[in-house]
Amino acid sequence: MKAIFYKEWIKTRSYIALITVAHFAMALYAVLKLRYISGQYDAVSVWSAWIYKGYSFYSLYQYLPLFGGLLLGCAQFMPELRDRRLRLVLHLPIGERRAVTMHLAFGLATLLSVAFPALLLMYSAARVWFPPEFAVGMLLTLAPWILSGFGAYFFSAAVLLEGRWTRRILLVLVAAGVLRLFFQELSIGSYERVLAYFILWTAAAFCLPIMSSERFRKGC
Amino acid sequence: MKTFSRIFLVFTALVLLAHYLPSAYWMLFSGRYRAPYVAYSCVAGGFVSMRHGGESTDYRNVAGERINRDAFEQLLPFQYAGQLITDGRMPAEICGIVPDYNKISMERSFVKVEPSMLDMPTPNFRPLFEAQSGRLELEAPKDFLRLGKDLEFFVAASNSVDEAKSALFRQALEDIKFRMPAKLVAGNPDTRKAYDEGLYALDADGNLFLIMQKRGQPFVENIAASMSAEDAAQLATLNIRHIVVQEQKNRDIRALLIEADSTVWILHGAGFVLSRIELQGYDYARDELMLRGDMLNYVATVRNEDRIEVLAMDRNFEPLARYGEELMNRSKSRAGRVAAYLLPLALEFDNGKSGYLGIHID
Repeated sequence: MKAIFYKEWIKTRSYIALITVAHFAMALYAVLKLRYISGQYDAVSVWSAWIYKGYSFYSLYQYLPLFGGLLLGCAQFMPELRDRRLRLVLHLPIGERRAVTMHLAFGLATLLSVAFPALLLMYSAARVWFPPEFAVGMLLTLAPWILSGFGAYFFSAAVLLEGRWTRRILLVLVAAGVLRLFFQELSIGSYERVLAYFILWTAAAFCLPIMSSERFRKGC
Repeated sequence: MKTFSRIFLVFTALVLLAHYLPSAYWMLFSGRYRAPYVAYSCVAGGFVSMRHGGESTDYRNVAGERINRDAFEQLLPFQYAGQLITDGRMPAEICGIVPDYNKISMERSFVKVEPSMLDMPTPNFRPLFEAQSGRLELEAPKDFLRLGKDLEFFVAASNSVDEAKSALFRQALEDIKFRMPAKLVAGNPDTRKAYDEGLYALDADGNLFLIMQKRGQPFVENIAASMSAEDAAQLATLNIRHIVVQEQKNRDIRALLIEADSTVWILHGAGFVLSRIELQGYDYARDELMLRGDMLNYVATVRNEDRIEVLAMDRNFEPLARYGEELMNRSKSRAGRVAAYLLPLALEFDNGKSGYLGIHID
């Protein structure tokens, strides 16, 4: 496991650095914007904008996890497809399914790690200007966006590992249709009643790259 | 794993088809269906209607005969008072009342309740206005009241609790036997409203209270203690799910109380008179409810995609006349009948009736 994680780290570290910087920079920009808004308008107006109009200073962050997941998926699996090097990984003594699972676990851990500092920064800033309810609403609103990053990661891995172009196109279409559903924001916290379904779906999407890798190994 | 992956992919594809195909279909084939505007004419003693269709508008009198716009306006003199006065068409007397524009304007009221207003993720922070500030216009307070397990005033500028003010109001509520936690709190945060009615709150025992701030001091009232014994007994039996407060210039309607079974009650007048609106098919999760008032009548309109129900009442909310109509909508059109065959399943996440996303299967 350590060896696979190390191999993946060496392969993707520049992309991980890029995604981390992008997450943190966007979170920092969102916080600076909140600070600016709080300085320009009186606090009651800013609170009213939150309570009645669903003002969310973090909306800039919306698509970043999605692009991060997509980029990491490509960074991890595109090199493996060059000269079909993935075949070597799939023939490791730990077993094919376990090897792919390790690769995906690395990706998931990475996506969580890059999002965490950004979330912590935005949460801390939110607590300076707003009560705990705002921070909870923020996390509820951010949750589907973060999940979309995992979804994009699983789909990009599945598409790249898929051997046949017709299946690749089908997976891209399904991915586009599904991932759009993670961005139907009505107001702060509007995903509260469906969030469990989205979490379940994202967790189940873990199986897609494994299915693709099995077909890749069989050469179909 | 292989079987699971296949089932998962097929399931996802089916969900997507059920979501996107109906949406695309209705973008292509949806017609334009607008509910008529039905009003009660005290002059004619019945319902008149106005329907927008294409380039023209169809006006009908009580007998259902087509009339022109001027005749329609004359049937609703309280509603079109400004136009009638401007045109010199205002009658000398309307149903026994000598028209005075200021009075007509003062007695005009309008309350609207949409399903999404009642089911919205709204933070439990409300402004408690200073109701007797001495200023002509209401001013937004510097703090927000959080009333749930406890009562706390949050000062927005410092993002901290005003302990002294919180203690003052907490004590005032304790003095009139308000038991925490509050089950429901409702008010109108609009600073442009005619006056401040305050906040209505249900305590842990289901008793209804009014909370106001007058010259910096708490003014709290147990509604049951301020109304007639008969109304208080009735109020105690209600299973209130929603409270709607929309202050009107004449200060008659004070709050709408909506029960879990969608029965609507009105609290009105200085003595909190409790009156039931005798609607027949209102469902707060599905229907839009409008309540219009003038010098002589209140008219409640319940509307959804399928039907419209209009109930005319006197000023004491006693029913006078009722109107109902099944509406043409997209599901009854030819495109709708085709859709029933082509698209047997439609899945929506946002049905426009809630501030929350949900799984709505049609």
